[in-house]
Formats: sequence, structure tokens, C-alpha cells
Amino acid sequence: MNFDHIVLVIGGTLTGLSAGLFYAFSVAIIPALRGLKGIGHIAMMQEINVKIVNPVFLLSYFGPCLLLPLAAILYWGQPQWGWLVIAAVLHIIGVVGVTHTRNIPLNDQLATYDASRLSEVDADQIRKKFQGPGTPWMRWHTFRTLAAIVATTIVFIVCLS
Amino acid sequence: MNIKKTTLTLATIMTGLNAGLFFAFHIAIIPAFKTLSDHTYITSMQAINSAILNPVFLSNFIGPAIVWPIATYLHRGEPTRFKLLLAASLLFIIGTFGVTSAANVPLNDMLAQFSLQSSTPQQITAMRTAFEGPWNNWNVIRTTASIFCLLLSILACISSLSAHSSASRQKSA
Repeated sequence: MNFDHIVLVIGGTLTGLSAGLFYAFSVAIIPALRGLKGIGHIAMMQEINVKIVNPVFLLSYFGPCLLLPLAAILYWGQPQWGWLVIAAVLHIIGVVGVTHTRNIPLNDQLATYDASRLSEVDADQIRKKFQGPGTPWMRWHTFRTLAAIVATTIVFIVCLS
Repeated sequence: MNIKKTTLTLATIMTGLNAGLFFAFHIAIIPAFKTLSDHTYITSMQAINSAILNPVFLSNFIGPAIVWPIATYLHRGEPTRFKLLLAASLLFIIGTFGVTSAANVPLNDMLAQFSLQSSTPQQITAMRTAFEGPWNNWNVIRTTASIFCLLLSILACISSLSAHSSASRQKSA
């Protein structure tokens, strides 16, 4: 174990945690929210968006932005180098970039509603427009989830090669 | 990519997804749910427990319990890797799969059988108390186990990289 390896192991683990976190939304949380009433769905998503901004999440989310490029630099000139650059770009642009420019603005828009004052009909329309199948939030969410899974797979295959 | 590498990659990626899923509960869902009223908490948790039982989650959750022992067995000829992979297998099978099956699932079943309509507010509060604390604690254990499993599997792969990269560096030096 040297410094290069520590960077790769921690970078890979954090990238994997980000991938799994987004996967949790696709496979469990969003399907469950869609089963709730509109008001409940909006209130819950607003609360999740507030609570998720905490140091542990931010470590798994921003950590790879530093560690993956650092790993690429440390493996400069070796066959793994190019793959680590691809993994870094996937995480920085495909995960963090997409989240900041696509999902967060939509989350901010959702945060402006006072769920307790919405009628059931309005709430249902708002939640369908926000997180219904095929909506921009969902498309970009699927995109970032896949980007994170591919980035994790690349880091792992680099370790194996 | 031969069968050894393929099983190992598959087991690791599936473990990573499970680790991140349980991690999502720990850092975002559980804290958000703490703010809910007892009634809404139970409705939401029941909704998640029934929504999560789908083919994608189930195959990804059961998958590593099958693929880890195979990947470990295939590496029996490489002592360092074998030990790390054996530890990863045990961590997943006992710490993640076992804990979920023996602790979280029975709690989920108890919650699923609970009828909000036919219960008094006191019974609803008592149900939440009986469920939330233990479920959250077991979630911390399975999250930790799966994160360590992920770390060990990446480490196991590095154990070959260390020989490889020092050799290639000597060549270039």
C-alpha cells in the first residue's frame, strides 16, 4: 500500500457510494414517493433535499472530484492514466455537473411551494411535473446514476488491470 | 476479462450499489423521516418497504451473496487476494445480507401488518417507537459492513496492482 493506492481505494469507494445513493432513489425512494399523496410526496422530497446537505454526503459527493483527478495524475504515463481521466470526467461532469446544473435548480423550484397550503389537485400536478416518469428531473437523475456506476466500474477495472 | 475478473467486478459493483443505497437511508432518508408525524412516518416507511421489493433491487441485493463466494473460490490460488475476498464475502453475507434478513426484514414485516386505520394515536406512537430505533441501528450496521466490503474488494484488486505498478515503474526508471 502506497499513497497512489490509498487515493485509488478511497476515491473508488466514495464514487461507489455516490452511485449507490442515486440508485436508492431510482429503485426505492422515488417509487415509494409516487405511491404517496401529492402533498406527502412534495413535503418529503423537500425535506430530503434539505437533510441530504450534510458533511458525510458532501464527502462522498465532492471527494471523488479531488481524488479521481489526483489518481489520474499519480498514474501519469502508465496504462491506467487514460481510464482514470475518463472516470474523473464522468464523476465531475456526469454526476456533480449534472446535479448542479439540472437537478438542483429543479429542487430549488420545488422548495418554493408550501406543501401544506396546496390543494390535492395542485399538489398532484406539481409532483407529476417534477418527478413523474420522463420528466427532466428523472432523465437527468438516470443520467447521473449511470455516470456514477460507469465511473465506479472503470476505477475498479483499473485496479484489476 | 476472464471469469475471475468478471465475477469480482460484478460482486464489487453490486456491493457498491447496496452500500450506497443503505448509506442514502442513513444520511438522507432517516434524517428527513425523523421530522415526520408518527402517522406519516409509518405510511412512508410502509411505502418504501413495499416499493423496494422489485426485481432490480432484489437481484442486486441477493446477487453479491451468491457471486462473492464464487469470486472468492476462484481466487483460492492467490493467498493475499483470497484472504481479502473471504473477508469481503463474510462481511456481505453476515453483515449486510444476514443483518437485513434477520433484523430489518422482520421489523418491516411487523410494520406492514400494522393497520393505521384501526389503531389509536397511542398505538401508532408505540409502533413507531418499536420500529424506528432498532431499524435505524441495524441500518448503520449493514451500511458499515457493505462499505467495508467495498473497501476490501478494491484493496484486493490493488494487491495485484502493487506488483504490477512497481514492476512497470522499475522498467520506466
